[in-house]
Amino acid sequence: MVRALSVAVLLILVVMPLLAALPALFFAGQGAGIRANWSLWLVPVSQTVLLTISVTLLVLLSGLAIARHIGDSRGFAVISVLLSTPHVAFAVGIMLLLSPSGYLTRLVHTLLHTLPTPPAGWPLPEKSVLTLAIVLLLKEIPFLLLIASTQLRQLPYQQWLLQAQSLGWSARRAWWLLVVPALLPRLKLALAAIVIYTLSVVDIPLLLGPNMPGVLATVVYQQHYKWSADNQAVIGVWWLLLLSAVLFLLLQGLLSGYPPLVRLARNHWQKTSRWRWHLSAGMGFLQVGAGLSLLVLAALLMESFAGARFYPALWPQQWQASRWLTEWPYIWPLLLTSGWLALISAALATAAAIAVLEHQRRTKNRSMHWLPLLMLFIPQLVLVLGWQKLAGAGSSGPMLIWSHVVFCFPYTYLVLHGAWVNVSDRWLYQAQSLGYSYRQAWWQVLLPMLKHAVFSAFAVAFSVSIAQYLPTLWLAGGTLPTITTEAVSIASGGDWRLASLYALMQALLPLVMFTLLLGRKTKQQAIDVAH
Amino acid sequence: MLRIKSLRISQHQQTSQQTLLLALPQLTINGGEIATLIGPSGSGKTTLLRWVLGEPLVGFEQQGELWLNDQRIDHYPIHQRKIGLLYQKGDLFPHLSVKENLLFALPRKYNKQQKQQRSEQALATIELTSKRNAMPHQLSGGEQSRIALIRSLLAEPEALLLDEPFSALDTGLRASIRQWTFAQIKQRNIPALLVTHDEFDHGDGPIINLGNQHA
Repeated sequence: MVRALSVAVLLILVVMPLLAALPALFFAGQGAGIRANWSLWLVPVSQTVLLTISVTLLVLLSGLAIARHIGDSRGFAVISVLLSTPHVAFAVGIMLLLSPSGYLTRLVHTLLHTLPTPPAGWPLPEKSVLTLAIVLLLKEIPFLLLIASTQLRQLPYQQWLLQAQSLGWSARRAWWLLVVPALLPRLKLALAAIVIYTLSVVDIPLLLGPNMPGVLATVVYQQHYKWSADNQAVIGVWWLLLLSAVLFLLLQGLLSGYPPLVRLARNHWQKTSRWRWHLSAGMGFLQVGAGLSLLVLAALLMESFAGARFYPALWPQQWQASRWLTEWPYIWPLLLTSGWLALISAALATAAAIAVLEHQRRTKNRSMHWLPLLMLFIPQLVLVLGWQKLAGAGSSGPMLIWSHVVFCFPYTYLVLHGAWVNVSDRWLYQAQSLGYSYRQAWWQVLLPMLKHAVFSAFAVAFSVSIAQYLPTLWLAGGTLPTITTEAVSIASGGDWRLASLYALMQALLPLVMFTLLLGRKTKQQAIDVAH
Repeated sequence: MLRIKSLRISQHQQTSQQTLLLALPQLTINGGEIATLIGPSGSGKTTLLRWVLGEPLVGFEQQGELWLNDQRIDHYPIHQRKIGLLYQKGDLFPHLSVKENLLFALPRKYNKQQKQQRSEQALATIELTSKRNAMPHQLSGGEQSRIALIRSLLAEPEALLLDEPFSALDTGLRASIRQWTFAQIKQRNIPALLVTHDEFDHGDGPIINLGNQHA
């Protein structure tokens, strides 16, 4: 029964989506005329390659540096809240803080009186590769930290560090030369997911990325709307797949290149670094991260009420509620749509992950499998484009929910995996010896025991569904606008004030869900249900 | 009365051979009696216990009969065997309070009021009424052991398995908890099977040394 369920889940949520996307890739050319237009792709492709490589490397380096200080468990809650802020809302908020006339420059002026006009050479113009890179970095580091902390729990790395320090190595060198080589292979899947996300995310570069020419994903997105005879969008999809493959190989090279380097360093380096300065990167990261999320929300809130507000003033000169009052009738239905879509998708994705993991638990198969995570390693753009060509654009309802579940499922699997496969059979036997059948013991003991993990998975899936832009837009074909599709379209239209209202609402939905489900410290948080 | 007849448990090897793990021609434990299984680790003590409880033994070949009060039960699922279980640690469900743990164990035939009464009574006999609403991790080792035992007994088992129940306790506490546990079993007049690697922990019934078999 459980086995059949598990197989069904993988068929419906992993195999089917793949097969459904394939035909469009090969037959969309309608025979003639697929001809690459090199001048169209050259700049976007090279821009994207540079962006992806540098963002991934930076995420990896800073993530590992921070992980040294956060370790295996503390601050888990902060990380998951950071993760749950939808990236569109996050991008709009960061924009309000960092743009040339944003809160940051205003704050600098208020404190130092040095910037009487918006600085011309400000390194973070509203739309640029750099701004895009910063937002991606801030979104992806928490994801890597989440994975790193679950993986660290399976390594006795604290003992290694102690042992190494007793042999005279500094804590920092011991971390990079001893723990990181063991940790790195375990981060491979997460890094691959980060590469793919950076390569193919559409909504963030639409808001913050360079305009002419854009990055690869936005060019594919724009070409898709042109319906030109030579079908450049399909060419773009092939570019995405090609880059994915190349970047995977590079990542593999990076990961297998690290151990030899480390061996070299172990033999030739001093045991402690001669420089005394310490980049205590991780120490304040959680505080900074939590503070940044709050600042983003505060900026969104302030901007949504702001009236006239001329440059150097830190605060708006006037406040007005009219934007809220006039927009509310439009926003409310959007919130409802997003809400029910996310509730259903999250429930289904959580149940699906439970089915797969329960099968793994019963067969004592504890490792994390790549198959349930597969959708994280394929550019979303490629899949959604394929589905849309197959099913048409007007398919709301079941098709849309299915697409959301497909993208939520890898996350519920990730979040539930550790707790689920490690729960001890002992509890079930104990309950059975007290007179409960296996089924009763499962529902009344095992499931409540894992309540916290289930709630976390549901909340994460909920926020993943809220954040879905491309599937909602392309599969529903505009017939089912959600808070996210509207927020993107308003923000990419340049109305940052109106956008901040929508972005705020988009960020609030998952936040409410997290507070409802995980706000109270549940009893079993303190308890380890494994052996 | 718990009776094991001609039990043989063998282990599958990779080369499709089977090695005999343990053989037990005959064991009878009368009500109120505590039989003790001793032997070095790897001698199959825990496997025997798991077989009696009814856990699925993956990778083992097993034959033999298990009788409880003149009923053959070796084909029954765990929950129908009426055999209680006491592990050495982590007995209490960590996500339930003391009271909830006890209520969970009580047979379904009692109504709500009777359940309340019985669990309160049980707590009173071990003088832990004040810990009613505590969570397991807030209790000391000795308190956990005592509550775990009365929880097993509240389910009204007809036999009891004890898997090194005292080894997590410190020496001072150990003797008194052991005495108290054995007294409870005597009072209920149910057969008990104790697994231990400490000879001082043994009960008054037959002692089976599994270590001799491979000699």
